[in-house]
Amino acid sequence: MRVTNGTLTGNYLRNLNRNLDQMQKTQNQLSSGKEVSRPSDNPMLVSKIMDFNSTISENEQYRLTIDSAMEWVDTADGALGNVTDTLQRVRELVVSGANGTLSETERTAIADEIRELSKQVSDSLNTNFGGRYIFAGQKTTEPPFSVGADGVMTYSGDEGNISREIAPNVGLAIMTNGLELTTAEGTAAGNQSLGALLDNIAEALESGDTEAISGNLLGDLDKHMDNVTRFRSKMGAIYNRLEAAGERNEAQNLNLTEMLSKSEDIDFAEKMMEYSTMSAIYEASLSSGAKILQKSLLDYL
Amino acid sequence: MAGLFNTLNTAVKGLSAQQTALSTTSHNISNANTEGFSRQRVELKADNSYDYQGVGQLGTGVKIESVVRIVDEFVDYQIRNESSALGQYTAKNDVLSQLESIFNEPSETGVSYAMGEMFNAWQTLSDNPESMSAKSVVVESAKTFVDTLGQTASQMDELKVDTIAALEKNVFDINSIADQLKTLNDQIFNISVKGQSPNDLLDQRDLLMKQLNGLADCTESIDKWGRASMTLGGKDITAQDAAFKLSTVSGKADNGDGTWTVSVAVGGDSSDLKQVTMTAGEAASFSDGSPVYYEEGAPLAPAGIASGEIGGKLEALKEIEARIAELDSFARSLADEVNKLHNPDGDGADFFSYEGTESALNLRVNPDIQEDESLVVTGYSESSPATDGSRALEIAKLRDKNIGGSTLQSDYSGIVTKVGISAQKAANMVSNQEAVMAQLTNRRESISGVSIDEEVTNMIQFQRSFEANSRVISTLSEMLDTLINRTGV
Repeated sequence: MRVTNGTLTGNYLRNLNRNLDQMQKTQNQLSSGKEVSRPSDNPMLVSKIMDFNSTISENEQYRLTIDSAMEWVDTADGALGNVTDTLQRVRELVVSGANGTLSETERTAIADEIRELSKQVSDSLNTNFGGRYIFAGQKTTEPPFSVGADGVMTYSGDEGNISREIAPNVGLAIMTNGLELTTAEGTAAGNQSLGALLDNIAEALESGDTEAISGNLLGDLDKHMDNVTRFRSKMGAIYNRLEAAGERNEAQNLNLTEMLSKSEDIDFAEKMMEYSTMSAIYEASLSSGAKILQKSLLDYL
Repeated sequence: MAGLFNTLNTAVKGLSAQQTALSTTSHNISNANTEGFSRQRVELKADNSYDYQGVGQLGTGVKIESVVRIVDEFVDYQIRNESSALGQYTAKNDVLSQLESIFNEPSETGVSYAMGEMFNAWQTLSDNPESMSAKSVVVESAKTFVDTLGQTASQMDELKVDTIAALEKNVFDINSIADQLKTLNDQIFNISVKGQSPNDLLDQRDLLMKQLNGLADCTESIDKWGRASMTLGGKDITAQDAAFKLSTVSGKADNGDGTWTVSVAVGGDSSDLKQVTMTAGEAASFSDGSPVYYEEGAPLAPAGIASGEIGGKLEALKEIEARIAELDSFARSLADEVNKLHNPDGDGADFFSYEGTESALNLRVNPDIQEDESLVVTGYSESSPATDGSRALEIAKLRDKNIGGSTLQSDYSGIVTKVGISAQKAANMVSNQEAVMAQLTNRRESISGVSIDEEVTNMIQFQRSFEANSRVISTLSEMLDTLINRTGV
């Protein structure tokens, strides 16, 4: 084959450009740290990366939901702890009030303290989390418990619970129904709600009805305390579920991030090797070009 | 006996032959880097001998037969042929790589990311339905999504307009090259009829034919005088005084009475617009940018270009239009699904609004909602308590919901993947075609290219030959001097 100057320069330029082009691609990958920068680099991989990114973003959103639900349940647990403590104090007072030897003044003092404690229970149950009342059913914008002029604590929330979605199509109800919390079953009539019971105890103390105090009222108080404890342990179970969901979410996130990284990120060492090979080739072609292209017969005549 | 003056004549012929050959060598060297140039050679031949009685045939020196260009017609033909395919894929690749830059994926600024953020905002709202700021975040993130989508759509529209303008320019170029070829054909004919070979004009002719083929897939034929005629879509665009002109469609409009008016940029010149009226059925085969043959008084005929830069741009244009349609349908189904959940009975406020068929471009967050964010519905019904975020949750779950066989996310990534695949394919075809072209160009270079080494060698050869002929003349002169001045004195 006849070789001309045009053949030499043409081939040289073509090969040099190809080397430079490949070097530019590797350089781009090295500086961005990503395997692909545009869909045509690898359409299927890009589609996979987009799916991963979307799933990860969704997963992180679930994580936020779980975290905020856990804080909510934490707050609720604290409030329930306060209520239990207060009721414990009420029980101590009731037991001491049942003692028939107390004077009327002493009983009245105990009754007054119980009325105050009733307000304290109401305050504890009106705890809010981020401006939302946590024992108001779904009416979280209004304080659900109030102690009226008659001294009876009443509930004005509704009977709903709040639900959260903690993973795709996995719902979880956070118990916020204040009515359930303050209603005990199997009590003597008139003592079904905690507010009414506390009021009845105070009235019984004021009237000196020690028989009722040591009988029905003390038993009913125990039932109410049981009820609160049961409610609290249910919240505990919800907390455990959230914790487990959180761990699962984190594991999944880790997996997804790892898979994304595997498809998206470059192997730095490998790319670096590729790059140095390419730049060596590029330099070689430059210097060989400088040697090939200068010479012609004219140099020797 | 051969006379001395005869021999002098032979030497002069030799001198002039070497001089002519040297002149051609010089022509070759000076055109070593000229595009499309084929090296030339002086064909020398021994001149007619005469009968030297009793001795035999006596030669009379050299004769210049002709100056020829050295080409392999078949390789040149192949190059012209392949340049159509190269032009096609290069143009397609150019447009499609712009298209994929518009999508800007994978990134944290593209439509996909903005859509994810919007659904995340809905989910946050479902957890905090009574929070006004969560509603604001939903509205703002939806606005970001709509803006990103709208920008993508409008950039695609711009790319379409730019591609149509580039098509017009290509058609304009074809007409101007065809005009040059017509003039060249005349010049070639004038020289060919004299029995000479118009080497340099033929090189120019081949170059113009190659340029034409790069723009559109012409069928060529060359007559015995070396005149080229290029046929495109069944019409000879190099015909002298042709009434038709290759043009582009620059728009069409429905007249409302069953007829359509199609505007044509005659010769690809958008300042020379002509209107053609036709039936709706006929108009359906024309779209913006499509190349047509325009002839006064005759019906508009599609030029039927499949390859070359024009063919590639037409393919890319179809691709852009298909992707715009898919993006529109994606925007429509997203907006419809969200609205269906946000305003199920149709008596409340829609969340999204869009007009016409260009739904990606015209998608908006309902202006009423933009003004009053409390219109964002979160609960199941109007009587639902403030904490009911079930509707917002349903909207957030649209992200993974199967709508007509696929999710919104996969609808969108499907569009991006399609763009990626066709851009990748076009880029691969370009590099394949470039390899074919490189191989053919090397082949042509090897046959027709100028080799400086070779020309310099020839130059020395001709120079020496010239010197030798001069020596013959001076020897003859000495002989004549001996004969005339010294003999018998």
